Amino acid sequence: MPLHDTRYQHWDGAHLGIWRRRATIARNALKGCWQNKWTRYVVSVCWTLSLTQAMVLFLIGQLLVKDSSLYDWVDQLHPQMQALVRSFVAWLEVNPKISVGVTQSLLFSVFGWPLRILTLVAIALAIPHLVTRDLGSQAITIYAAKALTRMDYILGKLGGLLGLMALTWLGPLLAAWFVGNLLGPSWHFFWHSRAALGAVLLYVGPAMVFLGLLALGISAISAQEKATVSIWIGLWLLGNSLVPIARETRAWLKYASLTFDLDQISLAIFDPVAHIRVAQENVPLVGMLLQDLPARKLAVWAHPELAGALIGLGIMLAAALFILYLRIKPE
Amino acid sequence: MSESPSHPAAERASDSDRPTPWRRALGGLWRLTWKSQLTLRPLARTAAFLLVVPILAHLTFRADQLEPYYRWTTDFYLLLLVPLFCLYGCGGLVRDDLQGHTLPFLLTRPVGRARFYLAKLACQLAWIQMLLGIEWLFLLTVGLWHRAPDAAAMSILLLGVQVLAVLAYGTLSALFGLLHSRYLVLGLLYGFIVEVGVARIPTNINSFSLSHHLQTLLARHPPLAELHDWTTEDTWLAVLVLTLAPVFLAGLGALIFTVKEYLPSEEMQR
Amino acid sequence: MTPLIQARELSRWYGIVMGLNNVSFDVPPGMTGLVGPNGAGKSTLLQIVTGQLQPSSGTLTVFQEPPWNNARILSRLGYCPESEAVPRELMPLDWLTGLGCLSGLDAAAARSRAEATLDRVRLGREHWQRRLGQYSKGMRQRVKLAQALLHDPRLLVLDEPMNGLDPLGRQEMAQILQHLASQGVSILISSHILAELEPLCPHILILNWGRVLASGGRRDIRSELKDWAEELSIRCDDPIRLARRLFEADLLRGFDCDPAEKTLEIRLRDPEAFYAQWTGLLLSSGVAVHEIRSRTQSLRQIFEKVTA
Repeated sequence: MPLHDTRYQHWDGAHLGIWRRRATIARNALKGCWQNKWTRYVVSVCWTLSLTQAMVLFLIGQLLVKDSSLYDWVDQLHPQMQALVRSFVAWLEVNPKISVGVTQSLLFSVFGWPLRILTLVAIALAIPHLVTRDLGSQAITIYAAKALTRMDYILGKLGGLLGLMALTWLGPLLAAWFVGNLLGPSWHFFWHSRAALGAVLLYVGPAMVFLGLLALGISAISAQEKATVSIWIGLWLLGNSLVPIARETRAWLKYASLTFDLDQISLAIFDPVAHIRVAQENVPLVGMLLQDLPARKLAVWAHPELAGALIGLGIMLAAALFILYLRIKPE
Repeated sequence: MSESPSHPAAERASDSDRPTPWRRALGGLWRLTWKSQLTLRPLARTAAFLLVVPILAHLTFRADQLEPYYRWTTDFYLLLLVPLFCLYGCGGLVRDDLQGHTLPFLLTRPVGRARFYLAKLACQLAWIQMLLGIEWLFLLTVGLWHRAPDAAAMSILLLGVQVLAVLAYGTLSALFGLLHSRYLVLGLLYGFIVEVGVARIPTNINSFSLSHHLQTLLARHPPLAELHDWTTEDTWLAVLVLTLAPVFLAGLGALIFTVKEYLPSEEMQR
Repeated sequence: MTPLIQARELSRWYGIVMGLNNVSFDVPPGMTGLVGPNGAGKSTLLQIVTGQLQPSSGTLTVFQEPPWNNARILSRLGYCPESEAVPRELMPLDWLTGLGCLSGLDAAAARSRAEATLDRVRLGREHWQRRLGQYSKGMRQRVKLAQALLHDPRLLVLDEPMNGLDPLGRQEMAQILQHLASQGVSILISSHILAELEPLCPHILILNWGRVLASGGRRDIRSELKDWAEELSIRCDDPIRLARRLFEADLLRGFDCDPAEKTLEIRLRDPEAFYAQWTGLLLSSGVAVHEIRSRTQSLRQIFEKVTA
């Protein structure tokens, strides 16, 4: 007596909606990435950085609490350091609307930088799980045989990659913002830091979509994992080392560096120079310390090359989409 | 049904059953190495790689300022592209065959595992030296074409350093490939931590950075030393490290390959 | 006759998964079939035989020496792996010549041996100028067999060489193997389809779940397993009650019950014990038996049973 009816049965139940099917592809892509222990290590480092940023925000908030142990500790510092901290605290107390926003914007641009590097490493680990293995194992033909279009497949894979980047980049930043302000001495901190949060969303969100599509395009170049990972690493590192040479010779070459282009957009959105100037004006000792920053570097930061960067990224994106169009078929 | 004829009893392996001599093992692996590269795609990839740096160096050459040419040849080519090319070429020494399920064809030949590994590594290194030798010629041509004053002198030094760099980075990359299937990412992390991180910190442990020693040798050319602020101090140490490191790394790789099994089935589970 | 391969308490595990579980057997010279379903441990065993894997415990010798990292043993072995992968970018002659050099031949000899072997496996010369990536499955199997024969091995180890071949291809492959065997080459060949090996191999080794279920000549195996694998079909008025009684007496390995047909199919744990207790059990159960049938014990059925 068979325990199960193993005869063919046509499925008469309700079918999943198209977004649920895309989500399934995304979930599988993310699961594939997550099974790699190295990816898990990278994600752990990202969340450690997030925790560190939240701790820094917490400590800054504690400076405003007169009877906190941090306040007592400051009293034991060198007089010059005490003066620096007190002038910073005074600025926070007098003009929290500006000071909280400025401080958090600077912190987000500082912590965002290592998180972006780690995200690029995580993508290097994820590249084989995107399109490369599907091309190599003919799984793409199986996907194509389902009720899915090329667009559904790409959206699903992009969703998986965005999920990974949310774990390594946007998630840690948002968590740091939330936890840091939750541990702040006043609920107003949430409101005062809205500009910093807006800058994070405005920069990291589109950057994630761009990197996701670019990674998908590179992942679709070849069915060999070695080739696609190498192209990703090559594009990143070789582009980086092009920048100093391009500056002295043909300036347009530097837009071939995706990190340079992303840096320019980040500078335009976070505007760290404006924030540094505000800090210099309001906290005299901070201003003195920041005077050591090379004027050339500040000038470069003050005038991000937004148009060139957008064109550079646009060309890369177009190339990635073209590769996807050529390689992800048939429908 | 075929009943087999009277088979002789399974005699012991005799002295006539000898391992394949070094020369033939090298010959066979060399044939497999270069023959597998002579197809359209690998050839196109190699040509693109060989041409891109000389073209960029040519486009950005300025007669009044040699700095960009130096940066292309040392910073970009020798210290970045060569290590990456070695990582790509030698990292997959065993892994490529393992992932392609073709390793059993090679491992079941009468060649000891250590001998097989060293012979395969030697063939791959020779192939990379050959390709990068062509690349070096292109870069020299760009320098001579634009009449860079010291192109010939610098290029001879560059070639010597390049040969050592390929040996050192190639053997290291092959070791990465033996240790993990994600050898590219392993190499990337190594590059960030050791070559970029440690090499730039003036401590005793920067002796671990291969690029630090390459820079010491390149500093024998005064314009390069001046441009990068490199010193020729410890030149002999640099030569010693760059000569002994490949021997040590190749030996370590051979030892690992002798004791460790490499199975396609396990590779697929990663 | 000294065995070609000897395994003693051989085990091999992958982490917590057992590939081979404490097996001991001898493989005599001649043609031996290694049979078992997927996951039985066939490929693991062949990889140990060809020196690609080491035993986790126990010993395995080929020509009386352990094969791991043993070039002298490998010089007498030819191996054709299960995977159909071949270097896609190479042409067959180039590949075989390279492998021939690795087997100790000089370049010219390797080249002429490569040509002769490709002829021997009946790969048409018109295909020699194509890259292996363009070959069909059947052609790849022939080239794979050719590389194993290049250096005239005394023991040929073939891991599921019939996979992916059409019936004609299987027949041709069988002819090639028979021809090799007639020339004195010992062959160890694996398959999960017994029917493929039964006409070819006078010796059979049956593996499942990493254990040797049977080993020896076909007749020996049949007599060895006949009792062990005995299965009865009983038609009675209350098959469920009868099954319960037999199970309580610990006489069954398993059963299938069909109340509608009033039939009970049972697999005996120990036939001797079963027949000793059967009459008493039947009387005490009160079940009326209408018919008892013993299933025929062909080697194929034995295999299906022991590997089920």
